[in-house]
Amino acid sequence: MKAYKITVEQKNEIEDQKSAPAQYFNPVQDINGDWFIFEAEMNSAVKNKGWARAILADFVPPEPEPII
Amino acid sequence: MAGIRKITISIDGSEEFPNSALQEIYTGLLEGSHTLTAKAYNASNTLVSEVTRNFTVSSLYETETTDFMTATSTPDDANSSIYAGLTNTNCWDLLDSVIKYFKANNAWSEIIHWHPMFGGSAAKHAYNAKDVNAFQMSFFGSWVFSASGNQGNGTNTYGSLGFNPSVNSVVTNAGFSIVYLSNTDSAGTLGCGDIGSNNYYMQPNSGGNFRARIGDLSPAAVSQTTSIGIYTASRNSAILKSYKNKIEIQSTSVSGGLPNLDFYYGARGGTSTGTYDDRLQGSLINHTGINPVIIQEGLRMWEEGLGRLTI
Repeated sequence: MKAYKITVEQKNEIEDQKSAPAQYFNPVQDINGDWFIFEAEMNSAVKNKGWARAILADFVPPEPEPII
Repeated sequence: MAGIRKITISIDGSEEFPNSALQEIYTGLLEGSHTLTAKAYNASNTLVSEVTRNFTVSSLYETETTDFMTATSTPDDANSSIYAGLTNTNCWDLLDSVIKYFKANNAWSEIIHWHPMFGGSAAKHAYNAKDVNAFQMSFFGSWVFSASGNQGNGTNTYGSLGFNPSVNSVVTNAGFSIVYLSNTDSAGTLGCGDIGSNNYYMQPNSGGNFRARIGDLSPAAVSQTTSIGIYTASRNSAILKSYKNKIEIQSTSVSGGLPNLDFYYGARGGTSTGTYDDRLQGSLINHTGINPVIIQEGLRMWEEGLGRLTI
């Protein structure tokens, strides 16, 4: 899976912030603890926060929790 | 189109003038205040009598229909909607017919919220048709929105509407319904739970199985071949019943209560948040446990009417 790797500072800038009407950023960590966002959020960050579009990187999610 | 279609004028209560041209003039007369004037002329074409009456045309739509369509910026006109073959007015009529169906079958008062996921944006999918000012949905992460519904990415997406089962429902009369419009993965879930004795969640396709819990974790999974369909979990007293496409697929005794947690759409809130959903989703309703089949039939009318569900 591909996603956009962001810095901790960028994560802090957008976390819990509105990305569009009725939508919010939700950065998540990969298996290594690095922060990522996905397509719609990057589009919003580029458009509304003036970010340069990051290069897509491999995103490996943390070990999935068992389905109970 | 709301308003009146026809006006007739009578003299002494017997003679009408259903003049087609006159009727045509008034076709589409909209709700609001109007003035009707009748004038009588003699053979010399001199006005001999004139009667004026003010009247009011009430909307034929339910208040909730008008509120929802207004909130979603959908005009009541003959222009094409984003739904194939449906004008905007067709969409008004469809929503209104479903709300009237719920009301006629005593289910509307049992519905706590209904998100029809109508239109092609998060802002429109956020609205609750029961009360557009309550339980508005906030979408977190990178969702994709379209006329066909909304789809998470399976990783960081969920929706929150401020619904807490222990606050907004009661365990002896609780239920919720979801429409799944695709069968793309095996991890769909919604609701919340402490993964102890207080749970309120559903997994329409967990490893190929359906699972719903309102209370403890005892209900077993139910095997199924596709997750496309309309699902309801409904609890009355100590019995949990689950339905798919108006057919009961599980009935089992349960204990436990409702979690004091935020209900998630497309994920599970609380302990062990579960896997985010990446399946295309339509209507979401939280309701009481009284009328699950009525709820499902109303959702079928809506989703099939929009052309996005065939079951």
